[in-house]
Amino acid sequence: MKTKAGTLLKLPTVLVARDRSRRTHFLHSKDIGTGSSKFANYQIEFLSQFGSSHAGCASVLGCLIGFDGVCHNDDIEAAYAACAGAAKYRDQVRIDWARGAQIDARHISVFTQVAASQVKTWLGFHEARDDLLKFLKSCKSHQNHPDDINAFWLQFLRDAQAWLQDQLPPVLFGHVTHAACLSALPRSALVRDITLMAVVKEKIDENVPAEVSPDVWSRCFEAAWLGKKSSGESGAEFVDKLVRCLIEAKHGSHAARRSRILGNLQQHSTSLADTNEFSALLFAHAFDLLENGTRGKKVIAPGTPYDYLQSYAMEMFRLVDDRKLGQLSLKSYLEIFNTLLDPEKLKVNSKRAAGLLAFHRFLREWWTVPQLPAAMFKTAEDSGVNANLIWPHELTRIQMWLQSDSNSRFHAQLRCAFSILGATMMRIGELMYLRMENLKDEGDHIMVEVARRMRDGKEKTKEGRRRVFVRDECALKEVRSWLARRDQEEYLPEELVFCQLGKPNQVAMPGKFYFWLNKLLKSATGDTAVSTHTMRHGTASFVFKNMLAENSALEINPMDHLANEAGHAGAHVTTAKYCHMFEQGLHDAIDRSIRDIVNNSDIAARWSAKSAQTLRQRKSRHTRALRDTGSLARQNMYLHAIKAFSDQTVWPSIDSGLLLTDAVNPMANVRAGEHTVSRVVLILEDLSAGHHAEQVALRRDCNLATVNSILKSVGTFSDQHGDADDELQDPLAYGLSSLKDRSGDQLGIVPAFARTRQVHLRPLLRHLDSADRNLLSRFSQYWVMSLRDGHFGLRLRPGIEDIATLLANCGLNKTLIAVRHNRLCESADPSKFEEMLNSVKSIFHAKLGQSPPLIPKKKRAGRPAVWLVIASSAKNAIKDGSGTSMDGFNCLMLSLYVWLHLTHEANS
Amino acid sequence: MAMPVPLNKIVKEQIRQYLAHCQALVRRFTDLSDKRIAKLIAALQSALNGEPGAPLLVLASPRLTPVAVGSANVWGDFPKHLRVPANVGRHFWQNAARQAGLSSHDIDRLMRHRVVGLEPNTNSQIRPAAESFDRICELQERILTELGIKAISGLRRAST
Repeated sequence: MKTKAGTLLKLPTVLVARDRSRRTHFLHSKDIGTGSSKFANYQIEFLSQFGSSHAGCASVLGCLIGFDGVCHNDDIEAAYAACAGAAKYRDQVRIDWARGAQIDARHISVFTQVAASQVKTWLGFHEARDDLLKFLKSCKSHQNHPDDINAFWLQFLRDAQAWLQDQLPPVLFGHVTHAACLSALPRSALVRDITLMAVVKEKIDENVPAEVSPDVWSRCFEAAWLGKKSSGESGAEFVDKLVRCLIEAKHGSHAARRSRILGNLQQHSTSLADTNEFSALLFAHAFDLLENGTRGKKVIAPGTPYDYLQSYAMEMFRLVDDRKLGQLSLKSYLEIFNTLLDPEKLKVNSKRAAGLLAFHRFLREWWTVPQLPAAMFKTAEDSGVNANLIWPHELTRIQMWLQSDSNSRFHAQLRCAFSILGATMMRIGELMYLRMENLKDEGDHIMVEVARRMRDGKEKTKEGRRRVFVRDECALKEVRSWLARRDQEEYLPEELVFCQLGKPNQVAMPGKFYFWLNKLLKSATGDTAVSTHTMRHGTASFVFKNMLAENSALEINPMDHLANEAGHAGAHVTTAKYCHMFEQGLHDAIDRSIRDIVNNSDIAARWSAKSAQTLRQRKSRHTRALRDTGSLARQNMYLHAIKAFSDQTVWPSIDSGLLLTDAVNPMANVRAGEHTVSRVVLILEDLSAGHHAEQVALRRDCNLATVNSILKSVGTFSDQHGDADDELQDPLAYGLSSLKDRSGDQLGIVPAFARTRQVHLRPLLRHLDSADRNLLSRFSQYWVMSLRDGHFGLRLRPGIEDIATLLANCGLNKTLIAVRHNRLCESADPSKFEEMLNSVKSIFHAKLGQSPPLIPKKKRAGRPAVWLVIASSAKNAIKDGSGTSMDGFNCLMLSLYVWLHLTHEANS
Repeated sequence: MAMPVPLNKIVKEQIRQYLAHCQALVRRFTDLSDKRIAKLIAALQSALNGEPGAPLLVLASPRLTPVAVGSANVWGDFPKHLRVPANVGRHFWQNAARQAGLSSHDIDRLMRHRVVGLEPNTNSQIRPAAESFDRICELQERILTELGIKAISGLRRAST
């Protein structure tokens, strides 16, 4: 073996050497046999001396070393401390402790469980260690012990390691001795498994609804994926303009100021298409700060994004120098941050460190960048645990969310992508550029060839060129359904699997695709650190767990097979970085090794609080009854007796202390490919702000035909309701000019679309997005009919209850609602008039929570007996200054009118 | 890079018997008080104490000096036409293991062969050494029993 000169390391207790591929070779010490047998003797003596009635802190420590594979000096203290907080995970009792950015954990043995359950008062580690050493000195196996207590302790640990080197799979031996550590899953991931709920990482402020602007996010990621070279307008100027967009307005509430900055950003987002990867990601980060805050604070001050970005953005832009962040090596990435975190510069700008930490965390959550040491940012908290995974039920949940719109091509694209990512260990970049010729249905599985064309760029490494297989039944079904769809689209073999129709070499909506792949995972798990890359960890961890359980002696190392699927140079990379579920395998391996020791009735009696005779009788009966002399059940009978005793202890569940919530489908309110009233409002707002149709189509992620169709509807509306000239005009041009007319004369209403964001109109907008179309149609017709009269009247006819419900749900300013009546109306029966009035009053009182003012009106031809109006406060004779609310309301109703036309056209 | 080798029960028992034999021999030699065998006694004592570098198996030369046992001492006395390569034992066990269906990983462990990329003691491997050793020992014990080979006792008491 070629060993790098000087790489022979002598760790405190185990000898290792690393070769050029960073694989760890465990060297055998000369006295491995002696050490191993000494430790085996210690196990027997320990179990014979201690027991359920003679347990204490020393016995917990002895069990951890003897039967849980805790053998590194640094781990023992942490593991001992963790025993007090042991928790139940499925049918195991688990302890875990932090080891830098990693977590180490054990499913503790039945002996440790018994010992820990008997402890009344936990002693300090050193006291417990001294007690254990006292016992060791009395053992026959350790008669020739060194006098120095520390030397004795290390000798004991060396013996433990010798035994473990013999008994454990080498990959687990590397972990327990710190020579090649694995990382266990954080509790939050395990809690998601047992509760089937999403975790809440920080307290949610219920007053601030989480907003999602998929359009902006999609544009950011599209720009980042396509990553053009920066130049002039698209380069430094873009970043400079971005920082200026974040300058805080000086007046208004925090929410209003944040909203204004978001508006600025949305306007600036039109330039994203020409920018480079770094600038696009910086933009996305600024947007994320405003929408979601930081990890520590959900709602940040409106000035914080500016403080952060102005402190480093331009300098970082120059340092990145048009390189792709996603492809930077750890060294280059570290270099950039080291330069920016220069102590001299930090003195000048105190916000820089916090800003850079927030940006790094954002990149870790949404992009692929290396991990940085926590000490770099001088923070105790690390930028996230390395280990995580997506559970199968979470993938199923996402697939169910996506099933809600089975006809949408985009949804089908996402379903297929999730199926491939969940069943194989493909990277997102490899998936995006997969071509139809790379997928081959081979009966019981689909073979996926990861072999990019030159034009799509190289694979990450030469090992990345490989074949992976989709074998899972559900995944096969989804992929086949996508292939059938592509078949209908008459694909060519060289087309991308997820290409845009008619453009075989372009991924369909790459930014939107990337955003939703990640967003759905984050929503299903509740964990913002989860991304598509996490699915690779999940696949590897499940395979690894099964591999440890199978214990097969196949000719081909199954770990090599896994490494091939992952596209790694060797299995050591895959296990060290990707395999997180090792606790059960470690527990089982040690259990198998001590089976002979436990198969002693005296020892079993000591640890199960049953008499040895009883246990022997039980075994004998089992043998006679079943004529069973060699089965595993018979061999493990004593172990089961101890397990039954340890199960009497009630351990706290692993989910205690964690905040959980139901996972919410983030796509529920954003029906991809469909136009909602909210979207029409945004389009109309852009048009009235002076953007031309092409620009709006790009900004609002829709095609030009839709924008034109909206303009035509507005033109038709203006023609009917505004002060139109008699000349016949093109509805498209007239629609555009009437939207730009600030007086509202042309349109018939004031085009103040920004007012639709008023707090009391927001619920109405949400309601309009989800209400029944027929009801909305009636609602719109009433509004159109009554617009000329300057009020919005509702005649008392069937269905008014629905409309009252809609108004109640919309939370409209109630001072604008009034009931008018005309007692002398000819159409109304005077005897029933009071009844009618009371009925209206009661309906609105029940729905709105208060009775609207009753205003008598004079008799006029065509007027009903009772009607409802929503008008300006002046018209209702209530002078509370809220009369202008009608502008926002009218704009909303115009949007509804346009939306109804749009959907009518689409349906027809 | 040193690799451990498993010892099956028969070999372990044979070593135990041999050490008991050596111990008895040392006592007898000591009783003789003959200066010519002092070196031989020292060599046997070193083997008994497990001193590093000391050979376990020693023979006395015609001049009664200790000589470490080599393959020549095993096969050298055979007539020429019956002679076999010095490492015939390794050849035998490799073939026997292959015929018995042991995996190539187990055979590599037994032979202490190191195949680049497949070294058993690295963190890219999943098979514990103990399980491999168990399979090897089980096979060896079976074959040795079939061949009628078992542990032989030597001298026991210090003197007759």
